[in-house]
Amino acid sequence: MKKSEWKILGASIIGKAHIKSNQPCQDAHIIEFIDSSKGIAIVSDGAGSCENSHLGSGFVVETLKLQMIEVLKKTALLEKDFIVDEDLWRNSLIKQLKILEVKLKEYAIRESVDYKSLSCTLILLLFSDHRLLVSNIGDGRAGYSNDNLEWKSLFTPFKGSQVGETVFITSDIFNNHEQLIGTQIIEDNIKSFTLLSDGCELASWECNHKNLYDDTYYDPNNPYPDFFNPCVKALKSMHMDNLSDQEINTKWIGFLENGNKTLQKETDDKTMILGTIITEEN
Amino acid sequence: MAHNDFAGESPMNYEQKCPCVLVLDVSGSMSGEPIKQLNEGLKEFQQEILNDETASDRLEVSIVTFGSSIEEVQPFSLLENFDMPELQISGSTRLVDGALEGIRLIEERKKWYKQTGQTYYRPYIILMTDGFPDSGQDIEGLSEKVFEGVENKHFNFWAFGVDGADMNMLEKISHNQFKPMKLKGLDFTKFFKWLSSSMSTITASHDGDNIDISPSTEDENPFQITL
Repeated sequence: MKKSEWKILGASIIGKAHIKSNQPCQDAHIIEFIDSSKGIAIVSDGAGSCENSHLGSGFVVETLKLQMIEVLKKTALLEKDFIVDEDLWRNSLIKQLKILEVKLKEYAIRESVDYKSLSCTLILLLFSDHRLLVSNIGDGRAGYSNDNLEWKSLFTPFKGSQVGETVFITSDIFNNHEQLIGTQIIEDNIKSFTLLSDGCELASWECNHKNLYDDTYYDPNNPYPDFFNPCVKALKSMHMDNLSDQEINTKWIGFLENGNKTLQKETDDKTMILGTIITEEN
Repeated sequence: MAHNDFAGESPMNYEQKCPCVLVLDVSGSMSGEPIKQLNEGLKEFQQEILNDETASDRLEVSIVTFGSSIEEVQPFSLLENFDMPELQISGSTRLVDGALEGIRLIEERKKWYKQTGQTYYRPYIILMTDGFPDSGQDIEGLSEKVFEGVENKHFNFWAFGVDGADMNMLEKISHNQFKPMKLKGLDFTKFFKWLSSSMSTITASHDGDNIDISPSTEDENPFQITL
């Protein structure tokens, strides 16, 4: 009999630019298993211009995780293997984000910091092996692969005309700009998924290409298979060889820091979560 | 690669560009040693940027000179794509017209980036002068334009004075985020070394990042300030 389980790893590492300027890592992430086949993954990237954004991103991933656990307890989402229609998912998610906004404002008061100084982006994923429920505010990327090792993007990031410009959970989105909140449901044979902050996108995503016939640039928004498939393969191999989670995570951190020339060159904070289903014969 | 190591190739992505226009005084008072030093400094600037892989892929430089005429002696380009022009002396000091031309070129470049689907770093305008602007130059008008541009994050404007420069006027046209600085003597080489190092930091940063571009040692400090 075959047994399947998720193997997931994630790391947030400080960028060289923040080390040089004595700033903390402004990225945060969290991974939480609900049961053996389902869970929650969240990535948040604090705004570079906001002095407390590292507090904001840390608060957002932890608080939203707890909120989503409550939602899963109180609704039939878990028993139904995350089966939910698009409207219900979106409405329920926006309700949770509004609660999160209130909690973040209360946190700002408790910590005596300006609310906007906590600005950060957000990527939320509820995962099972047949379904992904996604939401995002701002930039960063997320994607998944199916049976055919095809990698697909889960949303289009919001970007302004200047490098790094985006929207944050603290932006005025809940009154008139709810279109800036992305929600999506994917039904497929999910084999792997990834969530990442924009510090990892040049290394792992096709995101700035050129049309040679008219010299214009565009964002194909494609996870790069030659980046992700070898990583998934290595993760499976380490699992099969019984490497501990700590050993695997140490290797993952080392890879995100120096794994290839593009990762080495990147000076921004880098966060990447990578999950894959491992199937073993019992 | 070892059996149990992560590995992955990165895709080919184009670099995002950081436009920077150098608006330089070539008026009569710059003749002789000053213009010679300035030209040497520019060559140093180019070399230093070319030595930095990230900055050389991202920084697009344009050079505008002002004297009795305004000239775009170098259109926007990566530094690897042109030989540094040799600047020539040209009469009086139409500083405001030179700065306005710099702003115009930045706006034009931004428009081109947008038309071609490119995101860009916030542009920089670097102004350098050793004197007083000609009479009739609209200092107030320039001051308003710079304030509006910096305040609304359309560009950053930074003015530098050499001995003899009207620092009060530079103070007036500058936004308080970028106070004008005065160089020590005619050490343009040291200044452009600092500028290239600053541009390396800027092109490796992200919008809004707090970055420190102050000279790291007194020996590297081109300004009349003590670190």
